[in-house]
Amino acid sequence: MDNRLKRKGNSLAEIFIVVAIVLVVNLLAYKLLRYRVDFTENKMYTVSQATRNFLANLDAPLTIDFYMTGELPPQLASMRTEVRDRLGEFESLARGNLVIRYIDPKDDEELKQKAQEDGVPEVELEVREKDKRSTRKVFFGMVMSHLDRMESIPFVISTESLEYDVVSRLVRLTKDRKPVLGVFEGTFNANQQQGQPPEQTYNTLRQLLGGQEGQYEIKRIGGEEQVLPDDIDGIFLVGAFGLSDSMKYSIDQFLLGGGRAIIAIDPVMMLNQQGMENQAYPSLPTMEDQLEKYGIRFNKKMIADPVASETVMVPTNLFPVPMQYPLYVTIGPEGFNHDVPAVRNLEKLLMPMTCPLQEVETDGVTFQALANTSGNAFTMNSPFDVGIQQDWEYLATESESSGPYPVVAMVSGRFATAFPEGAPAPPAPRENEDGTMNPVVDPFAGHTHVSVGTEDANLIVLASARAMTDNLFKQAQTNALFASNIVDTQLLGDELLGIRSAPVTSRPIKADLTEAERNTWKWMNMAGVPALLVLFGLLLGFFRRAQRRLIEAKYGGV
Amino acid sequence: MNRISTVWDREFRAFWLSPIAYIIIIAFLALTNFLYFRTFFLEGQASLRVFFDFLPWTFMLILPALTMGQWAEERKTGTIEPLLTLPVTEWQVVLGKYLASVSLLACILLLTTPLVLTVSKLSTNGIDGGQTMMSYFGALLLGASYLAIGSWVSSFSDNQIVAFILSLAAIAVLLFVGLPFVTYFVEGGFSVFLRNLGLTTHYSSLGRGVLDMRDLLYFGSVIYLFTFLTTRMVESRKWS
Repeated sequence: MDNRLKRKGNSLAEIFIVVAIVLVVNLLAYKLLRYRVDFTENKMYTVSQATRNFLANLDAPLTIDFYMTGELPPQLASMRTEVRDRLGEFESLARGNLVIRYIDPKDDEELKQKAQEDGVPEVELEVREKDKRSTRKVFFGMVMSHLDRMESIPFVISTESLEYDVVSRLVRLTKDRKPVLGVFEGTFNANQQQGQPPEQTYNTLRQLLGGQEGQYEIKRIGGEEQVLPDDIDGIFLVGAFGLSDSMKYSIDQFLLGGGRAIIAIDPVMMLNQQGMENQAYPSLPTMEDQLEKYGIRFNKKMIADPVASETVMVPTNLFPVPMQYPLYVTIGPEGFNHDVPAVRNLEKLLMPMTCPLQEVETDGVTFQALANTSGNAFTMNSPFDVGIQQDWEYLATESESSGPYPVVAMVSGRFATAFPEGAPAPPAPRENEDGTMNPVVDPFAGHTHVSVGTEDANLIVLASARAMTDNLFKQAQTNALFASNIVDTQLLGDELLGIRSAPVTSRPIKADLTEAERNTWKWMNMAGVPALLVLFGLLLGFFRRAQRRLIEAKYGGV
Repeated sequence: MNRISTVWDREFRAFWLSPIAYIIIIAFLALTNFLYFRTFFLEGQASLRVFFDFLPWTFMLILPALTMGQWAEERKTGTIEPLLTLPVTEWQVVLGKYLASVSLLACILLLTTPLVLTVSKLSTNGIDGGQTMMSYFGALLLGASYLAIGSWVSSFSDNQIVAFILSLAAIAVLLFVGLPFVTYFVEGGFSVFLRNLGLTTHYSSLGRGVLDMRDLLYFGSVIYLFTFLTTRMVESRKWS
């Protein structure tokens, strides 16, 4: 009796120990075991190193609430698994610091309202089922939250850029402070009268990036200041006209130290003088030589695209008439670089009065075209006729070359300085009205000149500052989206720059299958295999009986 | 090893000679294929994910039916006594029986490969071989876990029906615990713990086509733990 109790006790203790060991080993493995192999054909779940680092280093919990209607239309149903898979991958990489909850609001009005308040609206989609067209309201977006901050993706359109879309928002959520963007506005306005507002204004851009809803703190640069402030995370120059030499040098040193910048320069200037209304010329040089040292050259010939261009309203004596304006070049979805997540899903970018950008071979620097014109584009020589009514077909035949031309490009790597002789000399002392001399202040006193980049820099160049103006943003809202994306890429740093777009291979089934063929395949699987199994069972039974009969015949019945 | 294979051989043969096994397998194949083809042409994508998504549920119904008699029947008919008096240890018997049921599971999964061939044939772009292979591997591990649980439940029950219902309940607990509708109501770290305790979390992870050592360790732990518990249960007969 004692022995039995003892054995029972030992056995229970053993069970307890085994359960505890199994639990502890699994808990430890969850935190420490990192070995994973992606067997998918396109390495779909091989998350970029940048994302891995970001997720592994999360130190406070983040939550993603994915609002997903249970019954999704077929076009979204197949995407549902993919979205869940990718988010699941992020969750496992975050090791407990990312919690993903899938919520189907169904008929719960409270949940529906919460989703909409948090930025995920119920979207009405057209559904085609069995040759019938109908509409269905669905939720297919997510809300990301961290402490008291929130970001959302109202509707997931594709899974290709999901990694970028999700991580860019998570990065923003986890930043302790808003990144600071230095903005310089310097465009040449030939006709600007004193006291009059400039022709090209960028209020919408500033509002978009730094307003109440904006993600950045905007700091104006230039003016009295001769150097970039220390707390700047990135710079956005819309035009470089009026930028002082010392500020250009400061930008050079900023880039050599691994800085991130976006520089938009108008390659064309309009003089608008009497009798020359339709004449334009290559713009006065500002920073072009400097940019050439970093690997990008402006080829100041104006691009015209009679096919991919914007329609503008042309005033006539009676009423405005819509006309296509080939100098307002549009970039379509196929024109964007699909390897760069920031632009791969963009539908359109309007680039007015632009020119081709060219790569200048530079050691240690990589050139990538982000947006290209269509193949129908061609270039015009100076002086440019900017009139809308021209024989564009004839001009195309006269052109030296044809598209596609890069109009937005990115160079990254370690730049060499554009100022090999060091900082520019401080300005000469000026005499005050009272005859005293203004003391000379050297803004670079104590600064050690850097001639070769110490960190990888990243520079995006747009061959049109007009593309960022208020007027253009009104005309083409996609330009605003483009601006947000490239600023996100630049300012949120390495977390986003290294994110690749996950390749998705579509595997549609053959479209030419008849109903009879479909049914044949269906029934072959549903009934064919079980029928074969029944046959196998019967044969097995038959052979066993035959074997038994043989044994009985040989040895007699038992 | 020889002794384990002897037990395995006896059990594996017994499965194929039982009409119940055929009924169960045929029901499984018909059900999974039916569920799969319900949406296959509608979605128009050559993906087997829907098929693998149904497996945790169809397995939950059929695998306890295969294990319900594994020990319960032996106890009821009294064959367990002579079995345990043979020169084999308890764990060898448990392992032999368990491996026989896993082998049957592998055969069941093999019988679903015509579906893979069909989908591949109907696709304009083939199927993702790596992902399909890992999904099968995940299905095998998931099924093996169900079988380990079923075998353990069967080891302490004399009645097959009771064993079936209790197995189903035990599997359901491990299946549901990680699902969003449970974890949604739990906050923070505990929600993560529950998700990782659930079988579906690890099964889905493998089904994506990603082999994660943590998933392997999890399934290995579940299988080891319940096989160990079964062995202890079988051993405990000696003390009574």
